Amino acid sequence: MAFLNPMLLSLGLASVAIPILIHILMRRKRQPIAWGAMQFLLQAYQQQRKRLRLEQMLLLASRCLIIALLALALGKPVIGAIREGLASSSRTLYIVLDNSLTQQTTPTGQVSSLSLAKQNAITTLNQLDMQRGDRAALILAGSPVQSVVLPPASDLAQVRRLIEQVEATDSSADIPAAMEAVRAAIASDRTQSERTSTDAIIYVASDARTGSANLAKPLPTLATDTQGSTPRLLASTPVTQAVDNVAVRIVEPLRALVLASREGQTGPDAGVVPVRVELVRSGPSVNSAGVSQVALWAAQATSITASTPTSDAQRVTINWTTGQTVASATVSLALPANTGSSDVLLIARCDSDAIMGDNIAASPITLRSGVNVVVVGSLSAAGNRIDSFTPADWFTLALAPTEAQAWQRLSSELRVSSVESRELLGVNANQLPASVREADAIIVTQPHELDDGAWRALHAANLRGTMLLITPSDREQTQLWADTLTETLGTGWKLAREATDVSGTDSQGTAVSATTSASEQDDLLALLRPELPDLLRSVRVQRVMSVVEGATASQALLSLDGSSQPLVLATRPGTQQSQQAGWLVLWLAPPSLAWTDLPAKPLMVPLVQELVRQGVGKSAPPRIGLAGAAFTGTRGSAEAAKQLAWREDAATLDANLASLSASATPLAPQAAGLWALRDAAGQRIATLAVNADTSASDTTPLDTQAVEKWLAATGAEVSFVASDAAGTASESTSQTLGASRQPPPISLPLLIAAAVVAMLEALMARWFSHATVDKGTDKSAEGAPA
Amino acid sequence: MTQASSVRLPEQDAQLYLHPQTLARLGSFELRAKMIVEGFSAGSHASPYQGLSVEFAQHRPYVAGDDLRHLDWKVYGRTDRLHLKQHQQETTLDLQILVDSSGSMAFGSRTFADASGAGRDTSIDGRSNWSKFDHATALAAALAYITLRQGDRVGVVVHADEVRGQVKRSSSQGTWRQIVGVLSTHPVEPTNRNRKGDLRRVMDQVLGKTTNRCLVALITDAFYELEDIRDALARLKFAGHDVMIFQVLDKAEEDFAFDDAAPFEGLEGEPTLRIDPRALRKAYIEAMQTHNAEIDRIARGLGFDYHKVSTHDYLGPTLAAFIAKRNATIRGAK
Repeated sequence: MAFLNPMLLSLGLASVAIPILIHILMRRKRQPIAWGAMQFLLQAYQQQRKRLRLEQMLLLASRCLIIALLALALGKPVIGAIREGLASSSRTLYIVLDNSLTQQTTPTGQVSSLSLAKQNAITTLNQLDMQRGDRAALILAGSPVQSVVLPPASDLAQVRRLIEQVEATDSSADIPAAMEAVRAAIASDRTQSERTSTDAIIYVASDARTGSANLAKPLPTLATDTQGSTPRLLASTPVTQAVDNVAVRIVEPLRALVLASREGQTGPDAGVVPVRVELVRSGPSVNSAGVSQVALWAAQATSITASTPTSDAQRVTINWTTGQTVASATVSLALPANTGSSDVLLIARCDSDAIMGDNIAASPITLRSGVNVVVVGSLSAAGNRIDSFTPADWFTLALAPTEAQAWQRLSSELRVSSVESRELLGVNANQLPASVREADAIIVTQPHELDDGAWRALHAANLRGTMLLITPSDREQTQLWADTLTETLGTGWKLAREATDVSGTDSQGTAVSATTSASEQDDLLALLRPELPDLLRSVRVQRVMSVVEGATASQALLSLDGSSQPLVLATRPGTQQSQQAGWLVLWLAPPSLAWTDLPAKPLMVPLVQELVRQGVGKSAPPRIGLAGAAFTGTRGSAEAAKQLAWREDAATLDANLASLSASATPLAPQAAGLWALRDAAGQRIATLAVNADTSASDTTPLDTQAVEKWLAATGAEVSFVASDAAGTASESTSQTLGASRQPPPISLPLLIAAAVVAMLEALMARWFSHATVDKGTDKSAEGAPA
Repeated sequence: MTQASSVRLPEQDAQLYLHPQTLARLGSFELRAKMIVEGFSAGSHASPYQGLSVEFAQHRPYVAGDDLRHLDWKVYGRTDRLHLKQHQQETTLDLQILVDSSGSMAFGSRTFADASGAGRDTSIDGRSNWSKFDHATALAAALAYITLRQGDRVGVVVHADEVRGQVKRSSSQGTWRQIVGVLSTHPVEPTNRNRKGDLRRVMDQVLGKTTNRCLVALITDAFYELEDIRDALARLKFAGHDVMIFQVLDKAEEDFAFDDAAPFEGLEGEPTLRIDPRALRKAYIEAMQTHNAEIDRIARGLGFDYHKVSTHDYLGPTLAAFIAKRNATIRGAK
């Protein structure tokens, strides 16, 4: 029960003491009467004592009751008569406002879904009554979920202002996480404030399109608490209107390694990068063919200020076939002149449609002048015969197949140098040879010669992003280094220490086949795959180090036929930080003719070149983030500063994201745009492009019943609120919320009750005083003869 | 005794107790014993010793109702006036007056000025109210005076928890003075309050000294246990005495006309009672009336007379009605 005037109420209730005080004071004040006939008085008193006590108590109680009723009437109690009847209580409204990318949908062409949801949220909020003790909480479901007002606050006007300020993100909605926050808030509210009478009402303001409501992800159970009342869940009725939308999902260079054009280089490939762009579409037009236009251009990352295509942007037309939802195109894009080695941004933008946030995507690329490769191991003496070539020889040859001198190798794109294993022994990281320290890739051919310190140095280099390629020693029978590799680099692989003979009965060796890769992004051989079957056909393996356990199928690039024995394994070591470590490639058979005939086959050169190029390219820290997702590629940077948001109306988003050094939470921007990563000295070291989460671009409406089932899994009473137009929400929400009709203060009935009790009191007082009886007695006493 | 009483003589106080109106009306009545009085002198009372008392005493004017047999026709013949011829000794009627001075007798709601009729505002000891004891002593004095005028012997006992003051039965000239002295020197003073009356003990003391049969006037409010009253009356009956019970009550005690809640303090050591008098009035009056009716019943059962005397009434009418009724009873019995 709530009171409009709690102060008056408490004052009034305190005044209940007045009749009691009067009673006590009056007892003291009276002059005693010296009385002779106490005998009869005592007799009468003993007869009547119980009745007198009862009468006195009744009178006192009724007098106190009058005052209490008056006090209650002054307090103006308010009883919400909806559903709960007399057991009415304050309400707590948890507004889960979906401000995700999907809510940018503008179905009618004027008002976005978010504006409508905000309007509905405010309408619902207006049903609350601050005087009743109602409170409201605001949780924004656009990931990462933001608890704007939590725990619930009673300043509803402030909540209203905050709702009005909400902006749409470019991230997907995480309604389950928002509901989890609500659940935790309800639970703590119940335990902390012991407000058992508080009704929890959750209002989910969302269009509930495919992009925002992930039905596969279950919602947390809200009604776990048995003593509390079941929370009620209001949700905007899921929209049924389908809207066309096209999103740019990916724009990326075809090759992971992009080399800057060197001076003097001419020809068609000079200064041109092959770029792949991928589009997704949803909406009713999926059922028909269609055309989409994409503009692609490259810009210098440091100087870009707007999202509009430049004049020299390439325009690509994508033809959709019926039913097609994903389409891609590859374009050769000219890089801006005089870029040097700084970051260049590849940008793709499609035509305006229902959702603006996902129409643009960007990808920063780092232009490299070349790749430094170090081969650790002994080279054979020059002019040796081919059958005495060491693995180091084979690798060097594969990386620089031309008959070139060492200085020429250093000036090419792949700059190969060789280092003896012993040069790595007994030195710390700073004393390593310069070529090793600056290497983009290190190939180890004699791992048995390395000591623990050298392995640690390799591991440190790998963590910095250096790619490692390791082969077993071709001369050792027992490969004791395998354990050290597993321990130091943390690959989880367990290798047999003895090589296995797989030459077979006819000593021809085992054939090799390519393993299909799980993820195209992690596939180092992606560009080679079309030719791999042909190139692998002639390759045979005689001996191999078998993997006992720990290698997953997806890590194998090449495997032996007829068994699950891999020949080449590739992984990024470590667990969570693996995104930042360089690639590690393990050849289980060294390029030695005693083990395999691979080095003498045509596959050797493209295989090694591709592994190194893609490995180095993909070892670079990621520079593309997804809106709403935590970005992990901040290695080496101390600060992240927002450079540009693609949408102008997303200016206030991410305002609170601070520097990276101190924050334990990773950078998780909500708006698509550009971020500059700086080091501790404030120097810009990289550009981060945050792209819209196109998983939220799917505007396909969901089945209402499926959404209801999804919401009902919370255990709450689910009811939908019409949200198709502004204003209509008020009626339906008020019905469900039960708050729009301000219940009148029930002071009038209380006043009447007080009056009734007062009349009763007067009657009782008269009856108990025996005034009526007395008169009769008096007359009879006077009239009777003495 | 207070200073006032030491200045004033007891004779003057008789004016207080016997209002001139009262005495004037009483003077014309004879006080006669209902029963046959044992005594040495024979008289107009029915006596087993007839003829012994023929000695002329005095003449007195005839008043209506006197027996015509006693008219002195010789006097009528000489003076043409009707006079009664009274004889000196008829029988003696010993009157023993027992005045209750227990604590409850101190109660009185009537103002002294209203009651006394002598123009006084306060009693000789300074009280402004006319207590039941005041009324009792007035009644006792009246009885004593009447009896003494008839030449009968009168004794007075003032008692509470025991006998407090006493005048031995006598008909001598100084008796009146002694009686007035005793009645006025044993008031219910505040120091004597809470003195619970003990009727049994008083009866022990009184009966131990009274050997011959006499008329006993019990002037009391009778706020005793019924058992005690019954016991006392039975013992008086057993000793052969005739008893007149004058129950002195205040009007406030009978009506209980209080309106405001107040603490009631007992005068005989009872606990203080905080009550709403209106609520208890009915039950109180019932209790009191039951008590009085029971005393009346006991008295009638023993052949005694019972009279209720209110302090708000003048003594005269009460006494006159009593004596008239008594004479009628005696004559009826003859």
